[in-house]
Amino acid sequence: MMVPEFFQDHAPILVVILPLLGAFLTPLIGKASSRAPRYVAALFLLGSLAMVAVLADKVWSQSPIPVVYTLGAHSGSGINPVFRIQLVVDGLGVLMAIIMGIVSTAAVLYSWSFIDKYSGQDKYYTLLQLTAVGAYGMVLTGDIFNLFVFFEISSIALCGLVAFRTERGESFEAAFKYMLYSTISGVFLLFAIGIFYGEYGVLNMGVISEAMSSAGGASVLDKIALGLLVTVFSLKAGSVPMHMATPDAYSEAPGGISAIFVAASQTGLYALFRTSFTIYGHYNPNTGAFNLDTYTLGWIVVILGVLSMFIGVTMALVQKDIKRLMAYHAISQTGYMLLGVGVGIAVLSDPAKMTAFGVDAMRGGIFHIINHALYKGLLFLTAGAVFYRLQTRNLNEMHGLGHTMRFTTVFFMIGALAIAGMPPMNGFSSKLLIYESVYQFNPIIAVIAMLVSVLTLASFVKVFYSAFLGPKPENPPEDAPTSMLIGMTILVAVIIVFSLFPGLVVERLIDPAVRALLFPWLAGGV
Amino acid sequence: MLWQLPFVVSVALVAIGLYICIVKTNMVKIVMGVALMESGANLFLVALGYRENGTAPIFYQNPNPGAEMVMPTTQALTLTSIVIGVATTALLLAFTVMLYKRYGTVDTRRARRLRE
Amino acid sequence: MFGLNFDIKLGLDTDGGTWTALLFALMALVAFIIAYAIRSRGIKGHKEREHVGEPFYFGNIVPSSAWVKSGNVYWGFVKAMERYYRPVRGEHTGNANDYISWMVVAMTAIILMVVFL
Repeated sequence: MMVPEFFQDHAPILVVILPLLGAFLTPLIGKASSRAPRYVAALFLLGSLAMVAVLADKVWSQSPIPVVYTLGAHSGSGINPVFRIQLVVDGLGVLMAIIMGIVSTAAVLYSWSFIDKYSGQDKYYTLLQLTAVGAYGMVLTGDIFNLFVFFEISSIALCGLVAFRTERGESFEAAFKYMLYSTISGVFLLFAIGIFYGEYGVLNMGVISEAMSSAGGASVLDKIALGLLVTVFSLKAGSVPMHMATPDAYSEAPGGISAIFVAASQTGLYALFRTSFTIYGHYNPNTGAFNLDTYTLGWIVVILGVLSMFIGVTMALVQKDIKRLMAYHAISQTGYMLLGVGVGIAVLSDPAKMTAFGVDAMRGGIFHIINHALYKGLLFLTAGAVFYRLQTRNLNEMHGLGHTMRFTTVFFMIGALAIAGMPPMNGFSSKLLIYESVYQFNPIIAVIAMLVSVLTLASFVKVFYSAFLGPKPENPPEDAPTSMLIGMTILVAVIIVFSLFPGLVVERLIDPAVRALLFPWLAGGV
Repeated sequence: MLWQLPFVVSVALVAIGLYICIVKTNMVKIVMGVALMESGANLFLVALGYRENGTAPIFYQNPNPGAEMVMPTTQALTLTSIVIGVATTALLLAFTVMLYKRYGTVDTRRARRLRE
Repeated sequence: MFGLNFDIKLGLDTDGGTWTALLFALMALVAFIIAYAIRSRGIKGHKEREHVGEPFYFGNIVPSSAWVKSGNVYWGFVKAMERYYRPVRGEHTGNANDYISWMVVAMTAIILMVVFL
């Protein structure tokens, strides 16, 4: 298949620009026809997904060297990263973009039916596309200040969507809390950026790491900035103890948005790994030193991960609200990713351990990111379908939905098996990688991880039992409308492919991401 | 030293803002605290770019070409951050207004139906 | 595009061996077929909904439509873990001030650990 050269050259910026253009077109077209916004949103998000595919091809063909796109300059003509804004796309960035592309496409199709009865649909689709802009921008940019801007764009758009159901006070409460969290974290992110700029006079992340390396490693100010960044990004990812607003926001957001929320939160993980590896894990081949001895940082991330895993899952077990339960599971699953990659960070400066189990841990953690976005997105969509038919999220008021909502039940089962890590689902493959490698790092943590997996299965058995099994309700609800089923089917299809071919997926999708994170390490020839 | 005063003030602003966010239970006051924190961050950025006796960073009408100029990048960053700050503050206030309409209170101790 | 050459790698190589999901799915299918074959050899005249769950009611009258509400599922587990659950659930106050306090506590701890360890 031939792709025109224009798209080949400008794919990185087109990924971000297309939904942005769509976002500003949507309200204009909404004036003419109330049904048009849905098609505009779907069209532009699909276009963006296509651009992600073009970009992915380009990135994987030259992995691990990143694709650099300089804004406002022809490639190769006097590009100085100090004065230019650049998009730097490598394996990890493109993986996150793929996640966002798939989930946002599924969610926008799902939303066609879901918000059909609400007014203000043009605003809904505008904000939905702006969320995609924020997430895409965060994972593709190479400039830390742009990262801040996109961070805020996605936060603001998401909060607007959380408050979409204006008839409920709870949605405003959730939106207020989440907005408060993300605004305050934005202030600290800005402080960290200011520290970098004050010390090195640059904003490009690659150049910052080079400058830090030639200044002889991270100074005390850099370490304070690192502390701020770790807090901010783990808050965005929803890690304990900064998780408090996450269940509120996830559960109050409309069905399709909860799925996008998962993908958008994971950009926080991306940013955390990016700062840990690219800026602070920079290896200087001349002095043979890293910018920072990442052992402590790795342990901090591992501790955050273990706390998130355990507290998330135990809180999920006692929830009565189906979406709130799933939101606590999102926190718990984030713990696995932090754990996997945290082990990688901790052993970064130890080549023997890195090759023995660090690389596998990172593969597991990063594989879990995409798996989680898919199956948790699917689960939130099924919960939204249940809410759409019953107008309640309270598990105590549900029973016997499996009698009539057949497709939703099957989709829920697939998602629940995947999240619980039952073989042969994709959740098992990534958890297997994490267990095996973490066991070599610290056996106790591996045992906790397995226990958490058991509790995950237990709480989804609870949901499945109380919502879908049991006697047939008096007014049995119909199955979800077609567009919602289509949205869920997209995610189910991807999950099944990922489940049956884990080796292929890890080799083609995950390994470029791991190589991108370890690129300075590999190039340094440790 | 005197030229470090802006940094002290910016950190103090953030600290006051955080204190308000933790202690005050009125949501409108919390939003004010957030706005204070944003101003602190903006002041920090502008102070970073300041050079003593520096002129405005405009090349073509520079009265004395040899003189030092303040750094323009941080001012651009600050402008962006002010715009974002306005958006977030407006959104937070809008949420507070709507919350008051639905709950009849802006007290954080009472506006907490979502918990556990 | 995508450099596909169709030598699809089935197994996922881990430290301890290889995980082949397709093989697992195939074996599960075979097991299902065997189980189904055994099941189809059972008594034909059995009514599916008869006597379901009756042993659990110890001879009492079986209610026609009953299910355990989700709030009561895992009651014993939660009861046994009460010493863990009371403080953890108590911390999820839903109060926006507490949210910020937790964030500040975590941030302070992380910065101190990064700087001094």
